[in-house]
This record gives sequence, C-alpha cells and structure tokens, in this order.
Amino acid sequence: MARFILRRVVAAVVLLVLVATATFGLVQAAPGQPIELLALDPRVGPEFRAELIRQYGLDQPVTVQWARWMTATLRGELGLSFSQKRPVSELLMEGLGGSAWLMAGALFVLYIVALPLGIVAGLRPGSRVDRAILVFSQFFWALPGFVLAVVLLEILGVRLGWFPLGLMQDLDAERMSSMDRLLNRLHHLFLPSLVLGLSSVGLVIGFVRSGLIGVLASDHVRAARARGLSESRVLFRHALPNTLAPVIQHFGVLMPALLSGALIIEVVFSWPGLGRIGYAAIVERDIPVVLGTTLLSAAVVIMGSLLADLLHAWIDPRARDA
Amino acid sequence: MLVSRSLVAPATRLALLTVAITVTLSACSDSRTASTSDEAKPLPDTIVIGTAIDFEGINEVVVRSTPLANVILYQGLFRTLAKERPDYSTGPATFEPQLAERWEFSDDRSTLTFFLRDDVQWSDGVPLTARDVRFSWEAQTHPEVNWPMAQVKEKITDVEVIDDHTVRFHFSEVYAQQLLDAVGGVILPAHAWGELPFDQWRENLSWFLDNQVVAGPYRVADWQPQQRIVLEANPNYYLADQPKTQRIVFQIVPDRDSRLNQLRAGDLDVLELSPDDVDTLGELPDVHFRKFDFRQLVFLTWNHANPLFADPAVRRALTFAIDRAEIIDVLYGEYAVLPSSPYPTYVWARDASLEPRPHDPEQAMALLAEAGWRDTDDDGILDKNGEAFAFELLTNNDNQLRMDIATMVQQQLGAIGIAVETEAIEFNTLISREFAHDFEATVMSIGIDTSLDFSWFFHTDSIDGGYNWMQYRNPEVDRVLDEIGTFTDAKAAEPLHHELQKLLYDDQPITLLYQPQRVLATDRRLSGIEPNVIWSLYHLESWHWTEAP
Amino acid sequence: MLERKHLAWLVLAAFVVAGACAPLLAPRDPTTYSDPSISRNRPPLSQLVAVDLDDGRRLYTDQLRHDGDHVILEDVERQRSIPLDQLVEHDAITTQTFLLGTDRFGRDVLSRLLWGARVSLLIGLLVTLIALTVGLPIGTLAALGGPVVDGVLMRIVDVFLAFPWIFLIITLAAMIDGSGLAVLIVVLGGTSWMAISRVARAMIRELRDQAFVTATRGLGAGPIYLAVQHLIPHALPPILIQAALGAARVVLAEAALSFIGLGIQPPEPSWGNMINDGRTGLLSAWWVAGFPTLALIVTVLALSEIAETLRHRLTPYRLEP
Repeated sequence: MARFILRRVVAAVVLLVLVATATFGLVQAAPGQPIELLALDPRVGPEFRAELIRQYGLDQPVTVQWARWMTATLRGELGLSFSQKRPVSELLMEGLGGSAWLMAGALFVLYIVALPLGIVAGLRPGSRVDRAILVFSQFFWALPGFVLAVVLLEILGVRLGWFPLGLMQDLDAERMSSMDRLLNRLHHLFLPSLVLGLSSVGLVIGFVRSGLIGVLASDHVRAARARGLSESRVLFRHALPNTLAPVIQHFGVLMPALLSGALIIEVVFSWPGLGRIGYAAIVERDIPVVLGTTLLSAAVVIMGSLLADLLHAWIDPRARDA
Repeated sequence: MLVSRSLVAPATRLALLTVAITVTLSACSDSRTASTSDEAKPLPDTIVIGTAIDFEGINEVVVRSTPLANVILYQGLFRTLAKERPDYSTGPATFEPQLAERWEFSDDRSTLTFFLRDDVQWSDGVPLTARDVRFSWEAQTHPEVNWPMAQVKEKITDVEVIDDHTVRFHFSEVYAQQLLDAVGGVILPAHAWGELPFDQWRENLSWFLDNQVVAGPYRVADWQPQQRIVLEANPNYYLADQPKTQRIVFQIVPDRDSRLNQLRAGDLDVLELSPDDVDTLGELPDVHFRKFDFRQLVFLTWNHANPLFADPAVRRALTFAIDRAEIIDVLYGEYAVLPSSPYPTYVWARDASLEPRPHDPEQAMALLAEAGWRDTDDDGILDKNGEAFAFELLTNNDNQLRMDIATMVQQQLGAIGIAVETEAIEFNTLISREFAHDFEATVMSIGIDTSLDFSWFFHTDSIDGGYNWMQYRNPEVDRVLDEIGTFTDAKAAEPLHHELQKLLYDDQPITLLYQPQRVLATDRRLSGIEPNVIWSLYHLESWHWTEAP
Repeated sequence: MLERKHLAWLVLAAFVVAGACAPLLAPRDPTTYSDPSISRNRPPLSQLVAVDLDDGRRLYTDQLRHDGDHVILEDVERQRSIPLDQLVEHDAITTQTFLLGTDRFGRDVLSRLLWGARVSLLIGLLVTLIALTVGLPIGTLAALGGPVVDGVLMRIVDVFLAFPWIFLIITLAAMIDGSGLAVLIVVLGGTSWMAISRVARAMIRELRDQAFVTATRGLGAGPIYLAVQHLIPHALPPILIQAALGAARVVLAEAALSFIGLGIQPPEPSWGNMINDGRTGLLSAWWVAGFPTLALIVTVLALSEIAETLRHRLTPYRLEP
C-alpha cells in the first residue's frame, strides 16, 4: 500500500509540474501583453513602462521567467496581480471559499439525487423506471445550465420570492447568530447548487447503474444469493458496498466538469468564486492571476483524482495493482 | 465580455474630472412587497446600489481609477480641497469649497493659498491640517507610489505649510488649469498612513483598509470581495446633519440580466442602465428612470493620410451621405443626441449657432463630383483616375452597437456609390491599429471631460503620442488650440472655442455620429439623487428615503 | 411503431437537412431587420402587413388602409402616411407570417433557427472531425509506439484533462488573435480529442495481442499497414460512440461559450448565441430563446441516443466518461 501511495503521489506531482508548465506556455503565447495595453495611454511615460517591465521581470528570457515562477510557486508565492497589485494568493483565497461552498453544495445535490436513482435503475435495467431515469438524466445533461438558472431565478426568485437572487449571504448575515447565518448561507446556496449539481447528475447515475449491474451479475453476489440470503441483505451488505468503489473512482472525472460549470453559475448567481476571478483576469490579461487560477483549478482536479484513487485502492485492494 | 469595452476613456487632466460613469450601479430595498399600508414604517437606513465590478482598496493613489472606486473614494470616504460644480453648461465649471473654506492666487498667479476649515477631524479624532495636504501631494508625486494621474501635479513645485490651516501651492508656470490641478486628488491622512513608507504602498494595498482613517461622510464597514462593499456613516464627519442615510451598500452583480432581475425584485435601489436595459425592463411601478448626459462621443475616424480622405470636401460629403438621425433612431431611440461639433451639447463653450449637417445625399454626390469622383464605368461605384472609392471600416467585435453602426454606414454610403467593407476585430487590436494609424476608417468613441482641452485629439503634435489617430493637420487649428491653453480666464477663451468649432465643422476631421445618454434607475421613494455629467452617483451624503418601500 | 433509435437518426437528419438547406428554407434573412419598432418581439404565428418602398426599405404595420394616393399605416403608437408612388411597382403590399415569432430587433426567429442549425451543427461536425484526426493517431501511436512514446503522449493527454475545459478554452481563445467560426472550431477541436485518443489507445492495445493481428504481423506486415488495415477498423465502433457523445458536448459547449461572450459573434446566429440573446425575456418573449433551447436539447438527446444504440449493438465496453 505504501508503495502504491508513493507512486500515485509522485505521479500527481509530476502531472502538476507539467500542467504548470503548460499554463505558463499558453500565457506566454497569448497576444496583448498587459504592458502593451498600458502603452496605449500616451500619458503614461516610458520610464513608468520600463519600470513596470523591470518590476515584473518581463525583460528576462522566457526560461528564466519560467524558472523564477516555478520556484516561487513551490514556495506558495504566486506573485502580484498586474491589475490589482495584490498578492495572487490572497485573491485566490477569496475565491476559494465561495468555490468550495458551491462545489460542496453541488456534490451534495448530485449524490442525493444520483445515488437512489442509479440504484433503482441498476436494479431493474431495461424497465420503464430505468427508461424514465435515463430520460431524466439526459434531459439535465442536454439543458444548458444558464437556461435552467434563468427559469428557476425568475419563478422561484423574482415571482415567488422563495429564494434570494444571488450572492452568498444576506446583507446583515454577519449580525445573525451562527445558526441563522448557516441557514441563510444554505438558503442562498440552494439554487446555484441545484443547477450545478443537476448538470452532472446523468454522469453519476450512469456510474452507479452500470456498477450495480456489474456487481449483481458477479460471482460474489451470486454466491451470497445461493447461501439463501434475503434480497435486501444481498443488496445492502454485498452489492452496494462494491458499487461504491467505481463511483468513488469516477470522482476525479466529475471535478473538471463541475469546475467548468461553476464559472457560469458564479456569474449568473453573483456567487464569489475562482471562475469569476479567472475569467476577469483573462479579459484583463492579468497574467499572474490567470496562471494562479488555472493552476489552482488543475491542482484541485489532480488532488481530487488522487484522493479518489487512494480511496478506491483502500476499498478495493485489487486496484492497487493497476 | 464581462468587461465593458464600449469606450476608450483617455486619461485626461484630472481624476476628478475624468471619473467615468460607465459602471453599472444599482440599488434597492429589502422588502419586496410594495406595501401600501398606512401604518408608519420606519424609514430604512440602507440604500443598495448595483455594480458590475468589485473595488480594490481605499487608497486613491495606488488603486485603479475605476468608476466604482472614484464614487467610493471621492463621494464616500475622502474629501478634496474643493470640488467642481456641475455648472459647466453656463460657463467654465466653478469650484465649491470643501476642505478649504476659500483660496486666493498671488498677484502673479505663481502661488495659490488655501485656507482650510478648522473643524474637520479624521475618523479617529485627529484634526485634519495643512500637513495632510502636503503629505497627499508628496504621495501623489512620489515615483515609487506611481499615481497614474501624477501628471496633473507636474507643474506644482512645492506645497508649503504656512500654519495648521493654511497651505500654499507653488507653480512652475501660470496657466488655465492651476486651480483644477491643485485640488486634484483626495486628501490622505498623514498621521496614519505616513507610518508606511511610500515605497511599500504599491505592494500593500490591503494595509490601508486595515488602517482605515477617513474624512468623508462614510467609512468602509465591511468588504465581502465579489459580493458587497458596505459603507457606514462616519460619526466624526464634520457636517453634523450628514450623511442622511446610515448605510450605502454596493452590491456586486457581474451579469447584466441578474442586475436587472435584482432591480425588478427590489433587491437593488439604484442601478445605472443603458438605454436597451430600459427597454428590456419596461414599466416598473416603484422605479424612477432619470436620463442624464454621458461624457462620450461616438464617431467615425477617417485616416487623412489615405488619399481618399485627405480632402475636407470629401469628408464633408461623407458626413452628408450618412443618415445619422436614422442611426440614432434605430440604435438609441431617445437616448442620444446629434452634436454639431465635438463640444458636447451640454457645455458652455459650444457654438449653438452651428447646426449638425443634415442627411443630404444629393449634396454629398455633388461635392464628390466636384472632387472628381464619378461613376465613369457604370459599375455603381464612384471612381477617379481608374480607382474605385472603396475602403474598409473597422469596429471592435465585442460591441454590438458598433457593428450595427458599421452595417448601417455601409448601406448608406453604398447608396451613393461608395463601397464599404466592414470588419470587426478584437478590441485591443483595434486600439493598437488606431495608435499606429494602420486603418482606413473606424467606428470609435472617446470620453470627454469638462476642461474642453481638445489638443490631445486634434493637434498635429498629438499624431504621435496622442489621440490624433486621424493624422489631422491644420495649422490654423493648432494655433487656436495653443492659444486656448494660454488663457487663465477660461471664459475669455469662448470666441476661440467657437472659432475651433467652426474650423472642425468645415474640415470634418471625424464624422460625429452621436452623443449617448444614460439612465439612472432609482427607487421612486429615494430623494436627493441628481446624476450629472461628471458623476452618475453624486452627493451620496444627501441621499435618503422619503417613504418606506 | 417508430423506434427510439430510428427517431433519433430521423431528428438528427432533419436538423442536418434544415441547416444545409437554410438558404433555401429560411423565409427571411437571419441578420437583417426592417421597421423594428413595429416588428419586434412578435409571438409565433404573428401576421403583419409589409409595405415595400422603392428605396429598398420595408415597413410593417398591423393595419393598413388606402386613402386616395396614400396608404395609411395605423399602429398603436404612430400613424404613417406613404404616397403610393413611393412603393415598389409589384406586390408592394404583402402579408407576412412569422411562424416562430420575431426577436427584439424584429428578426425572424425561424430563419435564425435554421441558419443557427447550420452553424451549430457545422461546429459539432467539424470539431468532431478534428478530434478524430488528432485523437485517433495519438491513441494509435501511444498503443503501438512503445513505452516511452506511450508515456509521453498519455502525459500530454493527462495535462489536457487536468484543466477544467472552460479555462482551457478561454485561455486558447485569448491566445488566438481574431474570432469567428474558424477560431472557435480550432479551439474546441484542440480541447476535445483526449477522450477519443484514450479510447483508441485502449482498444488498439487490446487488439494488437489478438491472434489475427499476431498472425498478420507474422506475415511481415509493417506497423502502419497493420494499424490502418486491421487495428483501426476494428477499434472504430467504440471510437464512433465516443465521437457521437463528443459532438453532443461540443454543441453544448458552444452555448456555454456564447454565455460568456466567446461563442459565435452576433449578428450571425448560432443556437448558443440565440439562447443567450433571448434569456432575458425567457418567460415573456419565450419563443426567442425557447425554440433554440428546444432544438439544442433534441439534438443533444438524439446524439446521445445514437451513441447508446451503437453501444448496445457492440460488445459491452466501458466508455471513457
């Protein structure tokens, strides 16, 4: 097990370095460097421009810039934002909190909806219920998230007034008791989580369903049945725990999908998060922030799938040999 | 794109004057039930304003000059020595005392002395004195602080503290905008912020919020990044009866539709809108729409270095051929006006006797024929010496209005035999090509300030390092521009302003399309809100509820 | 009775034909509009009287009457009187029906939907072709090229997969100077080949050890011959399933990109930018965004149904998600 963990961790770190290098390369190749934008204002003097270029090391060769950036990144220093002059890490931390809430809410919705439906579908493959669940999951996959968001916001938010129209909490949430504050947060979290979670629901239903079908057909379950165990006992004690492994394994696949969807959700629901920070930075060509957000989101993805792999291996020892 | 790219606002003389009003701001009440019950509800103590973008920090000299930052810093947190009045329609803008009670020039105008109020305290109780004024000038001009507007202080050689409440500005030369330049920028707290050496200011933007000391009617009570900025009344503000509302909240809503929804639902009390937003919203019972002028001009630039556009008569013909009234009608409806010159219709120096050139395709054809442009080969396109009158019109691809303008211009010029090809390119590329004079014609806009200094736009010296993208050269215009700059009494330059407008009217270096207006949506029970050309959100301290929503 | 898989093919074929023949089928030009103050935001099945003037303009009105040598256009907000000699000579006055209504400029939603089908499906098709062209060789090479090549190529795939796709696309879109259909297709193509290359690699690795392949190799066949003649054809079915799913995802991605302003630029219609354009009025002028949303959902469902039926016909094969 220790060797397996070591191997996976090393692979994840190597991947992270590659991802970081790729990010750096992409941004280097991008046109419209920020200094050029500054140069558009004739009242900004050449000395100021030169000073900025020197300050950000833009006069150095690309390899030197890369090496400097990598070593700083390893120390957790992501530099200063071009446009806001604040540490990138500080900006990212501001976004990370909101993103984490949204991600957690979406995953909660996702599993609460997908696990029961996947199990029901997997128990009776080919039945009418199975077909209905398939249509349900495909519908939410095919429906662009922002359309669902607009409809829900208009009906449940503007017309009925049941849910807030965005943001993470009420204006006076800070003055509430911690219980009320939590409830207020969940009230705000409901719609964005629902929209984001439903967009990936089909994926997870599929994993659970096919996993369960496979397990139910396995020798292990047949043996349990042969021993005369009741159907429910077979299901809950033998089949479901084994279905869990592939579901966990696919957690790593969900992360990039959710992070991508989150950008749009954050904009529609005025939710603070990494997606908004990254998008604004790209529009402004704020290179350190672009690098920071892209790197951080990739790191979240890599860590997520590392975690999933380790959990999977812990549950299912066979996976360690893979 | 989330970021508005609808205009290029050139950095003009002074932050105070160049505060653009492009930010979308809005606000609203907590209860969404428009109650009509008679029981006297207490007036709310909060006004919520919508904004598309976040703010960055509270130190003016190191944050970016965004519309939101300017509102918060100039209207909310800090004070200036004097502030410009919105009276630019009757004469050169005058100044209203703020921290300074009065001021006087020396006889030779080489120094300007301000006499400060003696009752102003910082929010921590320390008196605001002449030393703060000197400290602010030091910060504004310090090379490591690198204030983007530092050039307005270029001709100020020293700020001398005479006593606690008297401070004297020394100038290296005498010119029209001395007062404007002296009062530019907010006054910063020397006793609090002097603790941090200037060379560390840029890297420590958040330090200033942690060490918040303000002199304005409001202080930042809470900043939730990407969500809200909560301003709260400053109890030490020197005017006892102000501000009238306890809290002003800026709610950050990046998506346009979400902002409109929040206005409809009553979550926002104030929101700045563009005309098509008003259309989208329709009638709202509790919302009052106020139209106000917007400091922007939209026009076509012709590249005079191109033989097609070198002749003023041809440029006049182009203006005659373009039906600008139709463009306004289709794209802006009632929210734009057609100016006769780059001087906006709301400023004193405008020559009202000039009428915008009408849409007159026949006169356009006649002028072109005189200049030798005729359709000799019967292909429907004018030609001269075997060359067809054809050119490319550039716009930026993220602005629908601009692309619509290009399409309409293409159709209108096509009707008199000029072949226009339109191309929409990326904004940054378009701007770079403007400055490199690498274009034939473009749809462009600029921000206009009330100082009415057009030398950066039409002077020959501004072809390189200025905004004279057209490469317009007229020695007569250069002379008038230079002469205007020498007047210390701006009003006396009025005849020269009129002369300049006449010259531009004849030369048509650009073809003006329109001067847009904007709309401020406010809850109808709010009072004290008067948007003007400089500030869409003006005089926050007098805003208040007259009735509970 | 029509089976679902047939229905799926039928729907897809219908949209492809609609898109391909948009210039013939669309009743009006998708990007231009006339007399917007009258013709805007009309619900489906609206009828308006059109008056064509000899200067090329077209006016619309709800009510028209003749008054001597003038026609009078009577509408709620205004009344216009046009001299008869300003009309075109033939068929100057016609009744126009807008089957799916008009948008906020008075553009015909049906025409835009048809032209939008052309753009959206073209993107789906070309991006999938690019993904196949890039993904298939990479997958094949990784499977046959030995451990070093395999390792390098699969790390590249991993790197691409580690980015949330929307960040990758935004960054790529910023990199490439310019905009428009071609750029969008290249950017989407550059970010959707990974799944195909993984499936191709897995299939070909499985196949290369099978008896018939070993036998062919024994006969002296070279690796390229082997790949093209034997391996790829046998690996193709699961790759095609992946491609069908990928095409569905691309059509959705275009819509998501339109939302953040990076999709097809207006006034050129695509389903994505039509949905985004109409989302403000989704519940009042529902037809503007509603019809393209419906078209999008039906297309995506049809593609995934096709993938599903393909999967059923083949040996059970676990797809790369």
